[in-house]
Parts: sequence; structure tokens; C-alpha cells
Amino acid sequence: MSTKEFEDYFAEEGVGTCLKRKGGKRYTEGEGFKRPIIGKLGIGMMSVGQICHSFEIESHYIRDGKPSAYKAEIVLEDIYIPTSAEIEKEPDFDARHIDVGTWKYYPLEFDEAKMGFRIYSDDVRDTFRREMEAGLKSMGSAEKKLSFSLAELHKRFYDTINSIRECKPYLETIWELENLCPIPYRSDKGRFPVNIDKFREGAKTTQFNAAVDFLERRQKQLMGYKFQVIFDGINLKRSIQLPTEKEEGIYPKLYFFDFDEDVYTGRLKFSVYIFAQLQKALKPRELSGLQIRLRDVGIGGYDNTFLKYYKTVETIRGRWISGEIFVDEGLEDALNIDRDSFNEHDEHYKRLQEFIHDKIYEVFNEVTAQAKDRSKNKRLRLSKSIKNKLENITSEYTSGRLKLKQKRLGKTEHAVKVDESKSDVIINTDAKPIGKKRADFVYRIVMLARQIAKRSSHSIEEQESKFDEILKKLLGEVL
Amino acid sequence: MNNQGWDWDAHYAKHCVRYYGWLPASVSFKDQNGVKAVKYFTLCGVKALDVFTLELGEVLSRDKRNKLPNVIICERDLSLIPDILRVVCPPVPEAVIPGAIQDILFYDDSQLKTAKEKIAQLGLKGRTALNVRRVERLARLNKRLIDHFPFHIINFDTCGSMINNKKLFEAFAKMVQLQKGRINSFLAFLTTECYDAEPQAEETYRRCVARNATQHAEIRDALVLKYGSTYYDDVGNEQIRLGLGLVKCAVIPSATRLGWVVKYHGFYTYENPNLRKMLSLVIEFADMHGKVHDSDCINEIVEFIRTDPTFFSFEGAKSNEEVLNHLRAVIKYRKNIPREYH
Repeated sequence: MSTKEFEDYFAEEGVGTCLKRKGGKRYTEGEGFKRPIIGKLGIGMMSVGQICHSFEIESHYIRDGKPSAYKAEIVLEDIYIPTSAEIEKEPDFDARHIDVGTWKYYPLEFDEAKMGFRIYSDDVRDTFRREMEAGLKSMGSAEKKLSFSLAELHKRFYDTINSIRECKPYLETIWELENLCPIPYRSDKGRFPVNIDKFREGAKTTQFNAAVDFLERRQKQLMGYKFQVIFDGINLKRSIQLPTEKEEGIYPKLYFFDFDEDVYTGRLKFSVYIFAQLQKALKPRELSGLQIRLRDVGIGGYDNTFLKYYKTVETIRGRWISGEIFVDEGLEDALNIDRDSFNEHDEHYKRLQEFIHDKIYEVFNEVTAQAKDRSKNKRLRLSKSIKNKLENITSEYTSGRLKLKQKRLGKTEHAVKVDESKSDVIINTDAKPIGKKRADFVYRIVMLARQIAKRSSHSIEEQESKFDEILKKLLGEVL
Repeated sequence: MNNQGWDWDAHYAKHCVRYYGWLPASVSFKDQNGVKAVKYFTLCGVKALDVFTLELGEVLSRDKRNKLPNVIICERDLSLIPDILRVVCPPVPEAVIPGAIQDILFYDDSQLKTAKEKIAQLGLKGRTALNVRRVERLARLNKRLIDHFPFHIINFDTCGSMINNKKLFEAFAKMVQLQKGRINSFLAFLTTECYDAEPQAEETYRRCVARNATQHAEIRDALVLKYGSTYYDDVGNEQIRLGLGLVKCAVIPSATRLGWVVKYHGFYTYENPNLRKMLSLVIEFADMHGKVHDSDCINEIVEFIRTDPTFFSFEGAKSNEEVLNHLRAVIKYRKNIPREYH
């Protein structure tokens, strides 16, 4: 921002009347950072007033080949905005012009190393400062040092908690800033936001490759903006790493979709990656859902209703899914002034919602089918493993004289039977003596222990003691 | 402390001072005092070459998380602080004190009282309210800085003039005062502009040297032997004259008043890239735990008079391969320290 633009903004046009899109501008002009513009009125800079009484600006820039620099100080007043009833009583009240503070600026010597535009403040509101200090204190002095070890800070976000709300305001603020600001992901290639090493070969589909390519390009773009957000000295980076689950047993999937159409009066262009982590809920839970990023700025958090998906999202499966929708063209008219939500009746929003719902339907279907398959396979594997264990224990206690079989003998037959002629001990899978799956399973185990004990003992006393021993061993192995 | 628009990584003459002065004095102080973890205060700026020179020289050490837990930095330019934190990596943001060192050190409660009185007169709004908040902030920073005392090494490298700006020197003297009772000895590097001294400052030095020469034969003899005269103005070299004045009339009196004796380990002058002369002193302060007598200081003053400062010209330093190689190694080291999430 040059001094002329500064004066235009603060003195001439005023906050909220800034015509920053004049001439259809979509990107910042100047020394080549070429950042996309978001918003229209020019009130975003004043949002700092929520947490600060005053702020400073330092700008080092080159215009028409001439290097210049200045520093400015803006002091915001806690002004009282009159109500409409009060304004009615004051016929001369000029609602178009309200003084919200004072400003001054002075020239600086241009410093190439400081090229760019910086807004900073340490004149934070007491309420905010106290809230942050309390947040730090609640973590204890040892953990206070987390505030500057990003690795440990992020470990806390992703490894040790279920919800960001457990983190208290200081860390919570960091989390929110990281996920809303147009800042790069952590730069370890192929690790953020998607850790490609965690995907099995079978999951590396065309969509997976498209998503990985897209994220690589997006990261370069974000780094090119050279946009930094520094909170309490911490240079924030997005540290999302999917899958969030470190266990080997999970099955991650990645989907990618592109959209580019003229919708109503303008172009709507976006790309979306959707990640599914079978079958473990994402941690922290605030990551589940989809986040819309308008020109890379996160609008609200992750929406776990999937833009009000019309089908009932199964709570448990919804928690496996996370994604980001990068809207590069359009949708801006739908952005509400709080920049935290959209007008859901806007044409672009509706089209985006429709597209996402179609795709999320596909994703949910596939995820559900895969989850069922995986559950079935898991059940089969478990069943086989139990069978092996039962066979081994039977063989061990009868010195190989009895062999364990599983057969369907009909509902009226005993749960466990011995066929003396064939030296088989048979588990009757039809028998459901109690009528509850788990109880029936335990009942069969008890009966099996009884039969093995009976056939491997020479006296009643021995039989009782063996029964006790075999039952413990069987239950210990299979439950 | 100030970014003056030049490239500090190419400030070869200054690196001569780090290499020949600060580093060996620090190593020796650490070894002789058996200090395991040196606590270091600096006004290092973004490039922080002093920090990395001492780290490479094993005076400062990083912890397991690649942080420098014992380095405290004061920086008045808020816009530089994120870069300093990124480059140096202290363990917590609290390790960087944001503000002008002299303002922070000289905060006292009466400032807050005055600011609040103004509010009572003018109302809590605009710049009046801002000033109160600034004073409150100074109070917090003052406490935060004082909590970090004592330091084994204080690098008071201000870029400004401690000769003309009395408050700047008093800030250093205040640090010396805050060290008292907290540590037995410490090392200080004092760096100041050493040109265009104001007549008032020189007049103070003139009177002080004359008084010393009258009162102490050893000092008188040393001055006559070296300069053929006891007159301050007969010391022809401006840097030597001002250095002598600063040491004799400011450093030593402020130290002795508090019960410290000083031992000087180096007197360096060098040229900035704009060829302006700078002075850097390496001084050790030792607590006498009681009154300091004249005799405790005279030998040091005599020694100081006898010794010519080591001068490093900007051009000359450029061709000092030993220093250039070391500077390159320091820059490389700084570049390669593991940092989080670039």
C-alpha cells in the first residue's frame, strides 16, 4: 500500500467505502506478490480492532520504479454507534461519516529487506491478553514453552487431544488462525496436508494423483503469496496432516474433483479434495467435514454437515472425512459480511452445494461399501484366528486325540458335541441356546472346555481342575 | 539494534571485532568461571551474527529442541521481531523483549501515575488512552526483562551514540546495577558511535580527565608518557580520546559506585560501511562485595591509557581472509541450524 493508497483509505474514502476492486482488480498490484483480493469494501483491516486498541503499518514498496517507505499508527476509538431510534432524534446526524479513530504516518528510509506491507500490534485489548495469559497458565509452566515449539504444539493438536476445545484459548486461537489464513502448509513435501506415505498402493488412484498434484501446485501458490501471520512471535503454518491416525490398521482414501462452469452471471471455479480415513475418527474432531476456502481464505471452520447434506450423514462415517474446497473464481457475492459464512440462497453457493452433495454421495457410498467389506474381512480373519486357537488348545489338552470341527447340526442339537467314532469335537454353529450372539459364543466355549476336560481326565477331581484351567485358557485366548 | 539499510552479513570490519574481541573474551570468561550455560543478553537485530559467532564458538549452546534457551534479545522495531525469532530460535517468544531498551529499563511507577492523571483531565480516549496503555506495557516489559537477570554476558551493541545520548549509557549503567547482587562477575561488550561528539559530552570528559590527572600520579604519568600531556584535548585521535573519556568518565565511575571493579579485555575501533567510526569495548565486571577503592581501578585505567585500540578499517577487513572465512562459516552455520516449518 503506497502512501497515496493509505491516505485514500484512511482520509479520503474512509473505511468501508474503499473501492479496492476499482477497474475489476482481482489481484494485488505492486511488487509481484500478486495475491488474490478477497472482500470488496475494505473493512477487513479494521477487524484487528477486535483484539487491539491500535495498530501499526509499515510499508516498503516500489511504485513507478521509485522505492518508498512509511510507517503509520492507527488508534481506534471505542466509539458508540447510535441506534436508528437515536439517529431519528438527531436530524443532522451524518451516518455516512463516523470517526472511528485517528491516524498518522511518517516516511521511512526504504529497506529492500523489508519490502512489503506489514500490520502489527502489541497494543492488545486487556480482555484478549488476559484470556491468552490464562490459556497459557492453564497449560502449566512446562507446557508454556510449547508456545514456541511448533512441532510440539502441533503434536498436541493432532496426537493428544480429541477436540481443539480441550486446548484452551491460546492454542485454540493458533489453530483457528492457521486454518483460516491464506498461509502455506508445512513445507515437508508430500507430508502436508496429505501424508502420501500412509496410502497403500491400491489407494493411489487417478484421483489420488490428481489431488496430490493439485496440493503441490497450491502449496507453491501459497508460498508465492509471501503472506505471513505471526501470532505471539510464532510464524504460523498449516500443519494438517492426513491421515490423523498413526496406527497402521487404517485405510486412507483420497478423492479429487474440479468444477469450472459459468453459473448465473459469472464463472464459478473450484477444486476440492476429500479425504477419508477408514475406519477411525479424525483427531481433532474439528477437522471432520469440509472447509470452503475462498481465494485461499478459510470461511468458517470445517463444516461437518457437508454443506447441509440432504441425506442423513451417519455420524460415525462423517467423522472419517475431511476436505477443503478451494474456490478460485466466483462465490464472493455469497460471502456474508462476517466472512464466516455464506448466503446459502446465492446461485453460486447453491451450485457449489449441489456439486459437493453429488460427490459426497459417491464418496459416502464408496466409503460405506469399503467399510462393510473391511468389516466383513475383519470378521472372517477374526473368526479364522479364533478357530485356529480353539483347534490348538483342543489338540494340546487331548494330546491330539480329538479334532475340533465346526458343523451345522441343527438348532435342537447341543452347542458342542463329541463324535467318539471319528474322534471329533464338534461346535454346532446352528445352536443358539441363549439367543444373544456374544452369550452364545461364551456358552460354546464353556461347553467346549467341559468336553475337553472330560475327555482328558481320569477322575472327577482332575476333570474339575482341568475344566477350570482349559476354560481360563480358552477365554483368555479368544475374548 | 537499528537496521541502517546496509547488509550486516557484509560488515567485515564489525566481524573483526566479534572474531578478535568478543569471541575469545567470551570463551575465556566461560572457561575461567566454569560457566556451563552462558546467559546472554543482546540487541542483535535480524542477522544475529553475534549470537551465531558465540554459538559456533561453543559459548552458547542449543537445547534438544534446537532452541537457545539462554539468549535474551531486546528489539525496539516490532516489525523485525518475527524474523529475529525465526533466525535465532529462542525457546519462547517471551525471550524477545519488544521495545527500546532505555525506555524499558527506566520505567518507574510514577510514569503510570502521571499518565493516569492525564486521563483524569482529558478522559480515556484516543492518544491519551494509548499513552497509558504504553506505560502499562512498559511496566510489563520492565518486569519481564528484570526477571531474566543476571546475565553472564551483556552485549550492549546499540549502533547509537552512548557518548552523545546520555540515556543510552544510563541504560547500560542500569543493567550493571541490576546485575549487582545477582552475579559475581560478568562480561560486557559496549559498542557505540564514536564521532561527532557533542561539545557538552567532550567538556564532561575534559573535566573528568583533568581531575583524575590531578588526583592520581599514576594516571598523570601514563598520560604524559603516552601523549606528552595530561590534557584531554592533546589526545589527537578522536576515537582514542572519546574511548578514554567514556571509560574513565562514564564506565568506571558507574561501576565503582555500585561496588564493581572493571577489567578491560579489549578496545576496538572499526569503520561502518559508511566509513563512520565505531568503538567497541570488552569489559569484565567483578563484584568487590564492598566499597571499591581508587587503587582497585587505577591500574586498569593506566593499562587502558597505555594500550592503543585495535582498528579495523572497512576496506582492510575485506581482505582479511581469516575473518572472512570465519564470517562465512558463521553465516553458513546460521543458515543450517534446524528450524521448524519453513
